[in-house]
Amino acid sequence: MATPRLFINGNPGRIVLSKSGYDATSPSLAEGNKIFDSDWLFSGVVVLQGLIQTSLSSGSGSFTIPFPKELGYEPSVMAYYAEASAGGLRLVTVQPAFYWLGTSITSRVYAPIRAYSNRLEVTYPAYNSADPVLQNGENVFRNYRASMLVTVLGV
Amino acid sequence: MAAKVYIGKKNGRMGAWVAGPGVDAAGETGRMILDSDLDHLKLHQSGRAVTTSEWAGSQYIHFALTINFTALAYQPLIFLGIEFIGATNAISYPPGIGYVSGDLFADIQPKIFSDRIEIAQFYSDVEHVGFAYHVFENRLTP
Repeated sequence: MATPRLFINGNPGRIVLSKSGYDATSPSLAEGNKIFDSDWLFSGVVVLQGLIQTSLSSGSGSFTIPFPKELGYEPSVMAYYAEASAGGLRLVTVQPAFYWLGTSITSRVYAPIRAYSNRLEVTYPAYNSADPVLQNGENVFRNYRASMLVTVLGV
Repeated sequence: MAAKVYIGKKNGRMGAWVAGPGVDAAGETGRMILDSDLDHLKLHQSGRAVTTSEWAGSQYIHFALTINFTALAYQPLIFLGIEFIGATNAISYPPGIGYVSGDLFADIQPKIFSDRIEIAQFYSDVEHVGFAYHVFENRLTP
């Protein structure tokens, strides 16, 4: 008889999927031999991902990226400044910020990202006349559309 | 009592939900381990690659590195960790950030293609730099 690879229990509820050759019903099944266990804290739920074209050129205070549904918690977010480059996608930024390398200037724009239970909000960078780098960056940000690679994990 | 597992129809949607601790799988909110309403990370390939480098007078030059993976039909989501071998053995994440002489630099700008990750030539005080990568079957671009 083949080794069972699926374990389902009603009360308390639990599902375990094992790798081929390992018994899913065994309470001593090693973590490394599982494909899925409902007792895990995370198994790769992705709330949102993709390349998002931002549009802060109008100079508004922030822009919002809605989630597909209300989560009931504030999720983990990874965001990079990214741009198309010779058929690929170049990751430029450090998290959680935008980083801009212009053609003639090198400037940084820090755009804080805040996660809510139903959306991300990217704040327009604050103007600071004492910081010429930021000032320069803000002008760049105002004049160009940046793209942002966002991954929101359900954890 | 909160359900750990819910399979069936939920407000008109068929699916399966597995709830995290303290969350009701039959409910609409809360951290889920499995959620039919959302996408999930699907691992395509993972591994580790180390640059080839040589001393360039004041720093090591690390020559361009290409990490190939089985081709997908789109540019995939990747997680890329940078390892400075022999210094602190630290894994630095995310991409775009590195370490030189106690300061940070942002010269590592990996490019994602549908079949490879390209890392351009860069300089570092550290001779051996490795990249641990995970490629997911989750598309970045349409």
